[in-house]
Amino acid sequence: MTIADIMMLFSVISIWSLLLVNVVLIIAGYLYYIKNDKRAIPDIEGEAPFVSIMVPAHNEGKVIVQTVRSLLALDYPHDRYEIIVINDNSSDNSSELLAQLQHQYAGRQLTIINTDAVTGGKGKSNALNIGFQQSKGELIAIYDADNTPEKTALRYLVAEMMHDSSLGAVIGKFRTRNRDVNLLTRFINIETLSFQWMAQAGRWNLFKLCTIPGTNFVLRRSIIDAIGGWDTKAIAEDTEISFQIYRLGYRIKFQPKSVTWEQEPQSLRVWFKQRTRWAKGNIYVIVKNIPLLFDRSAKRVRFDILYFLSIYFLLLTSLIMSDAILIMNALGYVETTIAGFSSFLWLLAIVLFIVGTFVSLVTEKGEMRFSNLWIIMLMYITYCQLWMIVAAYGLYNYIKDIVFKREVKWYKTERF
Amino acid sequence: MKSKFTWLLIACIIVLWHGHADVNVSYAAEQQQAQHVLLVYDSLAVGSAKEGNVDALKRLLSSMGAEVTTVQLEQYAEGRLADYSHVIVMRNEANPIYESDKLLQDMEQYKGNYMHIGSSPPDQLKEALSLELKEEPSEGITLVLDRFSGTIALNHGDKLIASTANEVNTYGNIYSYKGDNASPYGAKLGRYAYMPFYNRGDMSEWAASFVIKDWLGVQRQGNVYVMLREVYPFSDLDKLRALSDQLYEAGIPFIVSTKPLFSNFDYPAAIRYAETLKYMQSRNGSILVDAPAVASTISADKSVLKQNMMSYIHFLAEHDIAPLGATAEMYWFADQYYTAEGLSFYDSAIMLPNEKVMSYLPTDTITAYSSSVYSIDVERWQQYASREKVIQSMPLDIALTINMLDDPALLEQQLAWLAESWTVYSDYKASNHRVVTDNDEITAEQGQLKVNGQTVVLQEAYASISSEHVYIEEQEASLEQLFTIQNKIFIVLIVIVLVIFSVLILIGYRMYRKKYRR
Repeated sequence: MTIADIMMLFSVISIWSLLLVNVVLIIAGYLYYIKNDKRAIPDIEGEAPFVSIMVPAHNEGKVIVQTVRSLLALDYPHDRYEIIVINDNSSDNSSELLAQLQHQYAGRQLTIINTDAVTGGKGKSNALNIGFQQSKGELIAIYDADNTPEKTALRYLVAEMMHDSSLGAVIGKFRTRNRDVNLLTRFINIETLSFQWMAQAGRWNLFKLCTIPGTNFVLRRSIIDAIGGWDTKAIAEDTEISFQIYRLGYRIKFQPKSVTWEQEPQSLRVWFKQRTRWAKGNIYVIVKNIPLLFDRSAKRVRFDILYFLSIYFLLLTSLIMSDAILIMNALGYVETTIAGFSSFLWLLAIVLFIVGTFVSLVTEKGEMRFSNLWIIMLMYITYCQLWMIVAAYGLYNYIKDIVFKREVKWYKTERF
Repeated sequence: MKSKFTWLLIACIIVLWHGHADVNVSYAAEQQQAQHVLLVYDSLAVGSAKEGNVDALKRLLSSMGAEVTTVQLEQYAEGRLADYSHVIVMRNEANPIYESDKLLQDMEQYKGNYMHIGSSPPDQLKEALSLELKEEPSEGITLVLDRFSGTIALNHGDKLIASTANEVNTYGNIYSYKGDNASPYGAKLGRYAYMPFYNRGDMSEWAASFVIKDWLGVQRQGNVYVMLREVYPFSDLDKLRALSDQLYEAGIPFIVSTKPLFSNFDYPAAIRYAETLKYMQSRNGSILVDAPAVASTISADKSVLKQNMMSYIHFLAEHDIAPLGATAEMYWFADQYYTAEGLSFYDSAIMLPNEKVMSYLPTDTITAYSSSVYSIDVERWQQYASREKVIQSMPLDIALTINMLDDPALLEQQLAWLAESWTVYSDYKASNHRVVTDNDEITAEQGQLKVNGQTVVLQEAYASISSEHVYIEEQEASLEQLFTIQNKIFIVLIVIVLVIFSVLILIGYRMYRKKYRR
């Protein structure tokens, strides 16, 4: 066996193992969805806990008004929640728009914090820390500035939290508001439903584990106090905080009935920037938390660290390595003698990917369409391949940031 | 008794001597001492109607067994004439603007054979032939020579021979459209010869061969061969076999110029190609190897040509096919690299006119081959030769070529013309040819073909070749067993998962349809 053979073997084992893990997660997630659908959301017993909804925003003038309005319209007792918008170093008209809203809803608990380059402008984590200092709620909810939560979203999350004291956080779903705009938004819609939510549901069902998605979630104030606020260096503050919650002995639950609708990138350029940022952020968190793999107190986190490690390092390197070996083999630079799987098996694997992804869509209203089958097929040859480039570029940026010691900045998704 | 024995001995010696002399004569006729010809030209006449006539003349001379060296007038170095037995000066410019004093001086001393083509013949030649030239007012003329005739469009400044001394041998008759007295095309006396013009692709090209033959002193009569060109492994092989049957039944022996293969000799397509060539050989076909197409003279790996050519010859030899010589465009024979690496195995060659010159190491001298044949398209030949005339004498060996890539209707028409023609076609393998490579020796002696000493048995049986072939040898793969087992396990697993997914889709469909309908 040559070195290329060993590398190829390693890649093949990794890819197939991850494929199987994904299949298991889809089945477990699906079963959880069915179980959860039959189960009624528990009621909030007694007085509803006071919730501070924090909305970090940076130049979000185009969307912030709609977001705040929908938050004001939640079916949670109005005197039991406050909304804190951290308008962080915005250069657009966000502050004027928010001031108008504040005036309009003078009777509601709506706080606007405007920061400048000196007091803010250091990223989402920093903005959340600023908002947290002014918050009063025993529970903290976070929504992104481009969200339109359904009325029941917050109530469902809080009800789950109050029902189980072992929960450190409860997360809901975000859906694609602009899914019908173009092919890219359709891809994103399928991606979030399948690879985000079905996988989260599967992880919860199997390991009682979830990862905070960045929006539409509540967590206990005590947790933020205990961990000393958000890590301002982390761009993927959600993943980071998830690990911290596990370490404190809590669990994170996924309640798919709590839904918020989010504006997703409509152009490839914006999508690429956003996903590269996520990839880089997740890599930061994974690298930072690798020592937890050997920490007895962090048993619960292990699966998540391994899961992220597998996706961002194992799968990425395996795909790049196997593709590189295939190309170099075709060009005659590398010789491999290793046997391979049959073409039929590879074909079955692709069918598995398509059917598996489609299964995730069945649970959503209006998604079980034949047109989605074609989109999934197209997604396999385009979007999924782009993911590899995104992840590789994220890793490259992460390394560059370490080498040049660059500081984390707001790097918001552009609006249109 | 003693005297009787002496006479018997003398008689035996005489008989043996005669037998030996006969053999020598036949070989000598084919292997005449090559004449060294220096061709001096003033211009290649690029862009004019005469363009290509220098190359055409070189081809003609080479086909007559001469070793030809060309030099442009301006490049002529003093004293060069002395090295050559024959000198041709070709004047393409109607009004020469350059005269080489060195050449003129050398000419005064030169005692060899001198031919002048075109305008401004030197005084010594004019005097020797008592040559007078005249202007020809009409542009169109007809040239008749022996059994051949053709029309010629004269170029501006071309003159015709008005008169010569009585003892001068003249060649052909030129008739103008006005019906004036006929003028001869060529004139020769002793060591001097003259032709007023020489164009590529018209009757003058063919008529010149008669003058040159006498001027070079070539004694032997030429043969006429039929040659099929552009035969590839991907040609219609069934059609080729049918064609060879057609020629065989018409009693026409033929030459097949085959494009070589350099690899994949074990492929069914290659073996089918060989089987077809073998069949054609058995139908009185002589197989020749065509030069491979030159794609680029810059980037191609030049080191492999010799090996490739030898491998193709070996491939043919292995299939009892005797390649007897080479066919190539003219520039191959005027290139040091191509002659050394691609043509050095052959003593017989057929020179084709240049179509696209892709020289690598061009040289000004073309080496003589012991058997060289001049090729003419049947289409052009039909313009000169009449189908219903018996050709009395051929100045040189010619191959009438049929291009297999031509339109089938044209091909059919040409074959019919050849079959009905009164010309007697010769069998190429009836003369002597020899091909020697590092691995093989192929000979044709008096019609007998030998491959590596073994006589080739001409068999008509055509073996049909199965298409089943392992094109790529399967490599021994490592971990084969592990992958085979895993393959099966994965297939079973995926099928199970797909079944589970189908059930999930079904459950979901029923459940959510009800839910969302509400």
